[in-house]
Amino acid sequence: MRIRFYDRWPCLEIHQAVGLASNRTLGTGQSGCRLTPGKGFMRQRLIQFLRVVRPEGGESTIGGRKIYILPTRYGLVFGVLLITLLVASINYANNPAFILTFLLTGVFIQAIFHTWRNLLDLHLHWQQADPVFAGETTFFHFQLHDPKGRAHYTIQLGFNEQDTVVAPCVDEHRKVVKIPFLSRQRGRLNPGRLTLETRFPLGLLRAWCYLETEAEAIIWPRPMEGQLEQTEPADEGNREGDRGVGTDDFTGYRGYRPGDSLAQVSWKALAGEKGLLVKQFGGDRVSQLWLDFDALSDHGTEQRLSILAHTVQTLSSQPVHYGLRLGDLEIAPGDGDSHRLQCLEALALYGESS
Amino acid sequence: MKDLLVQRPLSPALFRAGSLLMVLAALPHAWNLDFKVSGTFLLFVALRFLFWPQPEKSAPAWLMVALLAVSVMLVLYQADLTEGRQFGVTLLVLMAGMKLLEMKTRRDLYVLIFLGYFVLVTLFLFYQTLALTGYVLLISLGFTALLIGNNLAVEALPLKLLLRKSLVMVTASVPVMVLLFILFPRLDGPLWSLNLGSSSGTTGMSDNIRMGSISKLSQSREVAFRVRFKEIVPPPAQRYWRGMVLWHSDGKNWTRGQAHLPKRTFKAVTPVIDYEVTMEATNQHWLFPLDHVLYADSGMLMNADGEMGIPQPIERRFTWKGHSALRTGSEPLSNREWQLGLQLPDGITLRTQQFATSLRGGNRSDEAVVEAALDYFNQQPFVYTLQPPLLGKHPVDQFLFETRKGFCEHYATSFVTLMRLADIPARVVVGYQGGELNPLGGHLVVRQSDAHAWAEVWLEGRGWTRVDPTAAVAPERIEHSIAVEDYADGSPITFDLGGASGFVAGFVNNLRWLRDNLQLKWHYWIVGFNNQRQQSLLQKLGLPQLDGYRLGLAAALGGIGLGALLFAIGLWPRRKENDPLKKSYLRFKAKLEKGGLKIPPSTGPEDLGKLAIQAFPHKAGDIQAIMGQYIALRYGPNPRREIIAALRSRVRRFHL
Repeated sequence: MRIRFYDRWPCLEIHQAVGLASNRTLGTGQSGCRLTPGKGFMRQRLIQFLRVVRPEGGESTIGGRKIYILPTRYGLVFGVLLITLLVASINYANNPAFILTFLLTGVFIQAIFHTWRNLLDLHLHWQQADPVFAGETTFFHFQLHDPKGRAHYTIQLGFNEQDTVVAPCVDEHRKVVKIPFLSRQRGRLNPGRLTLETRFPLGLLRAWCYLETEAEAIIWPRPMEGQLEQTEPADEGNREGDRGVGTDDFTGYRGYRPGDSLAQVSWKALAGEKGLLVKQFGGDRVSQLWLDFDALSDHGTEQRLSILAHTVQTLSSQPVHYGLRLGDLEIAPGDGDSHRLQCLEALALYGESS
Repeated sequence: MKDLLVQRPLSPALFRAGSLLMVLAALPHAWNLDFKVSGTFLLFVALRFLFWPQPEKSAPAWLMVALLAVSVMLVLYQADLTEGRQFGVTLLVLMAGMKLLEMKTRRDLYVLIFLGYFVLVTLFLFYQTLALTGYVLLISLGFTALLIGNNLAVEALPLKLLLRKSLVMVTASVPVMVLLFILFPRLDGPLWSLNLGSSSGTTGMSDNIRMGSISKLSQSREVAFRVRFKEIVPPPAQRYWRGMVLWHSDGKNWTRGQAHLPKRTFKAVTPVIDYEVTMEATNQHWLFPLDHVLYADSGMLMNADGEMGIPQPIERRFTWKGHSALRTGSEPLSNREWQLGLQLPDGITLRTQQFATSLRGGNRSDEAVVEAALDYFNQQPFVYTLQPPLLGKHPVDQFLFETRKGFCEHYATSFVTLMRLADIPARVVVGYQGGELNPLGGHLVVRQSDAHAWAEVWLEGRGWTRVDPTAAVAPERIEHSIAVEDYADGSPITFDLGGASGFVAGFVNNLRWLRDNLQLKWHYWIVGFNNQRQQSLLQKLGLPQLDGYRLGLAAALGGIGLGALLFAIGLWPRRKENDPLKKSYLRFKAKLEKGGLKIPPSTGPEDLGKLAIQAFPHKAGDIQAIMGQYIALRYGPNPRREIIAALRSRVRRFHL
């Protein structure tokens, strides 16, 4: 499997040679491999020079020396305003005007520190990411808090070239921020560098910092409608009735035996003085299907995975039990949401070294 | 990253707060600008709130274009090219109004706030009082809070938070402001010259009098000028502030006459008095030195009559240094002065003529004639009043023999006429007389109500000698100022004798002095702070080497350094002991230690309880209760406030 990957994304070798690529980038090739080798290299070198907050023990803490700050457009306009006021004050030798000018200058200087401080001491903790199909937007959940309990306002968070969100961090309990990322292809998604920035309090300055995170998301294959040639029921269900004990359909009563769940005791029957009866449920009156990767032999790998993902998604809303065969991996037939997620994840990570 | 907030529409709260602050910022301009301009601004605001009261919808583009045309026309119509100030401010205020009309997004609010700061500064082009400065600082605090609100993602405005934040920022900027204010290099002249124009309606004295002109001044309590004496403070009866010298009379009006000879110095006979005068704007050239002036500093003019002035009219508060002596040496009278000093108007009645001759009597000396005239004023039923009856064709005659009611001008002019009739050269001097000592500031306040006119006669061997006939009638006028507040139309004048006043009156008076003192200090240290004062202040601070660019550099570096320092102080971790539980626990621990218990450093609460019970078995119950409660509160769920209070009082009651 690994070798096939290398064939498709030769630039990975270069990453390995430089020793910069992590396993995660290997798996997807999403953040690094879209670039040409040379550009990626330059970029990596550039990032080395940037001050980046790196996580420690799952948590990133923004230190004072990691924060960049520059005036915004409005800050520049404010600077022009200050100069104009100063020239006017000098020209008219107007001391109260000097007072206001210098006060506003002081406010601007204060704004530098306050903007910087609005990012300082923020702690960011990655929690999870919503798995989505490729081409959809996944949300990375981060916990934002300040252990000292200081309030931070209007913090804008976003990944490189992605949409951003604005969130405050005002009270002591941890606030969860969901940061979007538009996924492109299946696999493990490493969103790359996260940028935190703020213009609070005056909007005259922008303070920002870069964060490396341990965040990753599972991106399922983009669903594609396709003909599954061998979707014969792998195992015919017993149409006569139920083949065992399940939880789906009510089948009848039987006498209470010690150890039976109280939830299944028929209290109505007891009240009707019919004795202690237990409701019995059966199930499994549904068909079982096997979805087989190898059966889709006339498609490419990615297409096969897309078709399978689509089928899983379709079947999950039908009263069908389905199983998945992906090369060596076999997921026994089942249904329910966790089963669906298990199947989709297997499809997403197909080809990743195990 | 793109700023997500600027594109967002304004919340109604931000929109309303911004509009309100803009109106408040422009409000004082209503006194400075033409009512058409103020009206147009208000019209823009009204239009917005009548038709587009929500921030999402603003005035349509066609309307804005039309209003722009109207505004430009109004500005051009109003434009007085000699008045750069009015022109610029008119433009600015109309722009602010239009911005209010089209405000929609947070980006617009930024522009509005910047315009607001600008409008605030232009207020100082017209007035520079302490009160206005306070107002401006208050509004700029509001604008800063608004700027913070503009950077909050929430819809509602958390007013308390905004005000607190902006107050913190503005207060922290004050030291930087003070430093820059002191250190920033001041230029002596303007960068370019724009005609600031003259503000009309300032009060002051005119250089001619007719019967009645001073009484108009006299009723105004406005401050004319303030005087700070260097060492010697002259006694109240000697506080004559010399203004113009009037030689020429046509019977009703007295004027200065023409051609005044320049003069450099007068000789002092008594000790020299140095003082500093801070004058309010008068739009005139005249200065009022203490009588009699000795010489003029550079930049000021003086003539042989002892009149002083400056070349430009005084358009804003102006401070100058004076040098006077209570008496100057006598000088011979020139022929010209003889001539002018004896000039008589037409229409002198026979009765007056005869009276003057009778004053001279049997060849009395000039001094005796002056005495006799003063006696006449003193002994005949003359009344000092600010509302004298009207005088007809022969004012001097009528006043001396019929009405006998008048104020300083009447006495001075009729006295001078009498003297001239008796062949003594005489002239009228107008100026101010008196002044109250501000007990707080130690300076003298001279008000418009202190305006006065007196006479000067030329006596052989003494030269020009001041004679105040008013003093003969109403000596209190000279010693005390007129209590204008108590004065009702037509009634005789009462004088502020400085006697016992009620507590409230005294308090009000003290407040008035405080205000006056503040105003002078404000003017001296803030409004009038210039190159010289900066240098002398730096010298006092021990920084004499700073000048020019070095001063500028020091200002810039100091400003940034101080800002950083203040911020660092703000960052300093503060011990926040607002955990009542911890407080009680520590208190309990302290009590145990005081009782002789040795507590190892890392003892937890449970072990501490055991130790304590071992040491003080007789208190086991109390200790157990306290520790049990503490552990339950500290480690259990949802500590309840009442239980914490109970624990606290239990610890308080605990004694070993």
